[in-house]
Amino acid sequence: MIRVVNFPFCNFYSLQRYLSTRKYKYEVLSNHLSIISAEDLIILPGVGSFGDGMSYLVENSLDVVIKNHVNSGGNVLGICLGMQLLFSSSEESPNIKGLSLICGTVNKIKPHPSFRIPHIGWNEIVFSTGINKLPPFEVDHNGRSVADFYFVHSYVVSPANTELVTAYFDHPHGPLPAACALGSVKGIQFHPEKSGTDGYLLLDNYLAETNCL
Amino acid sequence: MKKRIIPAILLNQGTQVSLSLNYSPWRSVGALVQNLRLHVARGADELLIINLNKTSNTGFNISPRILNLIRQEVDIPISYVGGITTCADASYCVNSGFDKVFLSSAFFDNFKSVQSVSNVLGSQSVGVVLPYKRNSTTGHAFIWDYRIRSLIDLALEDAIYQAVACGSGEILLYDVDRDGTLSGLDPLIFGDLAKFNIDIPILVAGGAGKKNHILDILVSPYIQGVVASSIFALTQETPLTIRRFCQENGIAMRRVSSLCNN
Repeated sequence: MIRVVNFPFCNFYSLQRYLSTRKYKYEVLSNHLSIISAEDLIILPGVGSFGDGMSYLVENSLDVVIKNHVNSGGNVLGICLGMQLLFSSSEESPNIKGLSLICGTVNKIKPHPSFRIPHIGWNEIVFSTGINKLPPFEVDHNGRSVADFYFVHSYVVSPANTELVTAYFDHPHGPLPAACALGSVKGIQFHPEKSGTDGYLLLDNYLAETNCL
Repeated sequence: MKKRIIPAILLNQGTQVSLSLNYSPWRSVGALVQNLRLHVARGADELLIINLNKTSNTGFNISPRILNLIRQEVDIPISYVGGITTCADASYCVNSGFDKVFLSSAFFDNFKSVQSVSNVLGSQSVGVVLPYKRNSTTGHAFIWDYRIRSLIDLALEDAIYQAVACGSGEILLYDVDRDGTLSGLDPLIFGDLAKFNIDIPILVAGGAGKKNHILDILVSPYIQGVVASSIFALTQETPLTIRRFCQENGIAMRRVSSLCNN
């Protein structure tokens, strides 16, 4: 079963469209611990601020549900703000503690004349660990696996262990994380549910790796 | 960052879609669902819904039926402009499935209206549409208010400055006189933008009629995308053909790897 956190401000409908198109069963995540199985996949979508997102999780005791699920080996996927909430803290909301499932912080993207913030629009992500031959990735002339996805954000994660970064996007000051993974916990900064056919393919590939369907 | 081709869908009388001419509904081009499907299938990077019916004094109102249609048909980013005046209006749009909202008239009435929406939704989810007309003699551009169908005492440069200062995450510069004419986008806009050190995305609209028109604008480092509608209804061009043309001419455009071949 797929269980989706329905934040007050979120891209729930976009994700719902993907799940409905693919005819995947899903439910909104509740704090009833007994109904969650270790094989379930919890998806945290999210648009808005780090502080608002964490407040919603804590007020509804969903932070505990998510942490227990990870401790049981369950899969969690964070998208955009949902990815940032997986980390320990964010510059956007000082003094607010994140889920801390991945050690690291979330920082404002450094301004640069050739990189506009908010980072809105389609950008290339590069797969950082070898060649991913699955679509939508294609191999560019430098032998890198690349694909374009839609981004809308002003903050970006900074994991303490940079080896957790599975994909990145270019910034004039150096590449920034577009996706991270630590065991069963994965996060993606861009919006596959808003990236057309290629985004749907990426989600297909991810869900196929889990046993949630 | 890839540059964007953004079809605009002007809603008029329920789910009917019109082309616009000089920022006014002109000619019907079918129903909403038909237009959504067409633009998505033809590889649009993003869509903009312009709800002109609701930018009069009737306030913000978009029907649940329209929202439902949009949610069912669109798997790419979609933005909304039309009648938003409050944080509650903007929040409703985002919670209903839009990725971004644009303010226009509310911004002219009170610059801080953008600030308050930006504080709630984040600047990445709010932008400002600035319809303008350019004096043919002096070249100076002033804001044109749709509600009174007249210029107001606000220079385009000042409006851009205020939009950035108030936390707008994106600005759409809309040339009213060129809108729907297919005669080319405003070449003088480069000069206006060069006066600022703008670090947010800028989109332009009004006049795109050929692939070259769009290429000529997208070469600017200041401009991130072109919003257009008539070119997609009245010529053979699609977002995909324009994207390929721009890419062949050195502009970084989105890859479309798979099923978009129209």
